[in-house]
Amino acid sequence: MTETTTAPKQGFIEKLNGPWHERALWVYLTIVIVHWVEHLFQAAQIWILGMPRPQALGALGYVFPWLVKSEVMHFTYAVLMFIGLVLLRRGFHGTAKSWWTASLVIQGWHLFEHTLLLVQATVGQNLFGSPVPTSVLQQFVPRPELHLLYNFAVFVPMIVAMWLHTRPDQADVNQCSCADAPMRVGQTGLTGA
Amino acid sequence: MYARRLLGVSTAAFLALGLATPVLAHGDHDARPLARDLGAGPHRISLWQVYPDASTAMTPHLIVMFDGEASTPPADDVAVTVNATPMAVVPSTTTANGLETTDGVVEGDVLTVAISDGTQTWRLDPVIVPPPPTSMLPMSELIYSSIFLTFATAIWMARRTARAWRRPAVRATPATPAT
Repeated sequence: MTETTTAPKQGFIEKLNGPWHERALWVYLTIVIVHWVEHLFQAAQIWILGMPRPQALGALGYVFPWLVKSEVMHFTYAVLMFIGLVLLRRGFHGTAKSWWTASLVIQGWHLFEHTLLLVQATVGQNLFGSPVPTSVLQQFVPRPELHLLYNFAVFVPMIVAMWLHTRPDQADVNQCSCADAPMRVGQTGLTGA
Repeated sequence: MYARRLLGVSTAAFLALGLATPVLAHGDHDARPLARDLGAGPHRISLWQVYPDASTAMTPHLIVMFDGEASTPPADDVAVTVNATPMAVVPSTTTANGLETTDGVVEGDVLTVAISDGTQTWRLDPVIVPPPPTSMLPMSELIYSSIFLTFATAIWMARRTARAWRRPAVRATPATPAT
């Protein structure tokens, strides 16, 4: 007769960075990639297809132009991205955590810029004498380039962190199953605990 | 517990109301200055090119900004010409201290602006619309490498996601014999 060990009761954050970390990471990455593809699509329209900037609305923007035009939509995504980076950070260790933190810091600045844009759109007063809402670094780099760069700068360290985090040598360090070996169908000798 | 839930619902309702207004606010527009800090009598004028959407047509409008002023003079007192052709101006939809043309201007157009207060008229020197700004970055290379990276990541993600869902959500531990 055998017994199985039972895990102590965990809170939501512990579960999110423990047993749920692997699934949560992939769900989060799916959302990030969908958004990133939309930015890439818009960039390709401008710099590869040579479309005029006002007409380069991305893929969804063709069907729902207001999506591209809404400051709230951009702000909401930036908040969700930031929350995801904060909530899932505890599950990372070592170098992977450093890369994830780098992504978090860059997204923090990105969120600050979107907050500035939303506040301007809300109160109807724009910074730097501009006729439209504008952000700090937009004084030096036009908006499509700037936000493509922001998303690129957040995306790359995030992927590096996830790649390092899921390496097999991290299995002993992690509290989650992200780096565990693949489970074979019908594998015996393992029980959920 | 009840008070906390009530506070949460109230906060959410307040935020929803607060955010309802700017949902339709203009966003993701780029505006570029064509000329700034031009003197016209008592006014400081900036000329901007901005990209508002009007139904399905999008044209780069011209905005005449009255810097540091809460509002603009009446539109009838501001005369804008593009290549010597008079253009109608209306209050801007994006800023209170700007007047906006209803047609676009393109590279090479010659703009003139005259402002009158009924007794005097001030004319700005003609401004030629400059070419669109060129990017400082190698954008094509950046985009192609990003597409490759994203494609590779998506494949990796699909494989790992399938793998993640095949295993239990809780980490499996080896069974330990009873002692």
